[in-house]
Amino acid sequence: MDLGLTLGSLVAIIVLALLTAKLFPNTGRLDADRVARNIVRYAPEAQVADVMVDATGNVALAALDAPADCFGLARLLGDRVVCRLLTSADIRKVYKDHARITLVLNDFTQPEITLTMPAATLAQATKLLDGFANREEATHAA
Amino acid sequence: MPLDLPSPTDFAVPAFVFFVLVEMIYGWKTGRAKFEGKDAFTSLIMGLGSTVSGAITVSITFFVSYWVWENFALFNWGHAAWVFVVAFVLDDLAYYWIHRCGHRSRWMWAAHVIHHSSQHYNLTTALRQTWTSQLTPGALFRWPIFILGIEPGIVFFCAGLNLIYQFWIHTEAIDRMPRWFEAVMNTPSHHRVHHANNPKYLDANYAGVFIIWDKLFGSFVPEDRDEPCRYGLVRDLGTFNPLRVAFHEWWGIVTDMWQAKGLRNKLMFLVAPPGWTPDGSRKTSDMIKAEWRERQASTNSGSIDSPPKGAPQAAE
Repeated sequence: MDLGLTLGSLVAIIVLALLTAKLFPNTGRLDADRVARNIVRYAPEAQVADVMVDATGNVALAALDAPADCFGLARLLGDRVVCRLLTSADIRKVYKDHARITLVLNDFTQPEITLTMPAATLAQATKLLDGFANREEATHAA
Repeated sequence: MPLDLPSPTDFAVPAFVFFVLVEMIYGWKTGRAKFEGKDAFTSLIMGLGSTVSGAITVSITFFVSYWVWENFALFNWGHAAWVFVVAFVLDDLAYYWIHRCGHRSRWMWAAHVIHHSSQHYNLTTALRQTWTSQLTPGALFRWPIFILGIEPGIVFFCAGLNLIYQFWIHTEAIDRMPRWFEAVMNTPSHHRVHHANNPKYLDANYAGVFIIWDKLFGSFVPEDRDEPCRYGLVRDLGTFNPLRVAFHEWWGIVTDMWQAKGLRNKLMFLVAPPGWTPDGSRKTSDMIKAEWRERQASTNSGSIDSPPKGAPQAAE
């Protein structure tokens, strides 16, 4: 391995990445339609009932009519959308305060997701997530 | 004494950088090639890491390959120019099967998935290479060439040329090549299909240089203008972190094997197709394609509503 070639490559990588960011800036944000379209693209069987986009426009939760026992998560990664259908088994912990919800997930590539929300949306999202926690508890109780 | 041939990819690096720059400026001017800063950075870092990991293990690879050749070669082919041509074709055939198994067995997919983990398709994607191919049985696929009697140095030289050929086909900037070329060679159009996660396109077009292997072994799917390619994985990664990109599937294998009950299930999590689970709770590409065919049939027969008009066709 040529050290000069490796260091030269590293410099070229940094220059190319900076140039890319300059020429192709990310201006897109999530909205309800984009989230719903991408959830259906990811899971064609999904029926989206409601979408809650966080204040940054980077993360959203989706309540689903189908499939049962899961909800949708959409996240902007660069200029593309990454989707998941989550069940209670995928969620390790949920932290909430007056403005944020943090989901700790069993997902090696996105172990933690934070949603910043205005009070009304936060209440909606909390209700959605509590529903899953309650269902899990009910399952355990049964 | 092993044949001392240069590594073609080392010489190609400046050209790679130049053509990435050309495609980027072309895409910026015309909109016919799309880039994203962090995605490009991750792809290029994965490429550099792949070079480093390859350099660390190159001695072992060479030693084992030469041991096989010296002890089991049936013929001595020598170093004539025509031997290089034969080696190139045979290596491309071996590549086809390495690549096909790379998609059909999770052990090999754990290394290869990195190359498919970008949701973009441009020349930086070509350089998004694995760091862990040495941990898979992929090298075994070239042993028959050594046993036939072609010296490993020649085969590795040809493999380098093969990799360089595959660089230029990772682009949306080129639509179609002339018909005769599309018929025989791997092209941007054929390889876009390979990188697409549309159910229709899954597990298709494994070729390196010659697309004839796919036509011969039944894995060829042509690009359909009515079905634009969406790039990436059926379950895309939620990170640009190169370490998480490099090891996510290995981590998945280890945790699945750890939690699996029984030796058979543990082994199946390693060797079965990606997405396999004992209870079918995840989907393999075969299951995704079967569900897609069912939906197509139901839509065509009118028994279910057409897909929502807003559903994205191209990536967004």
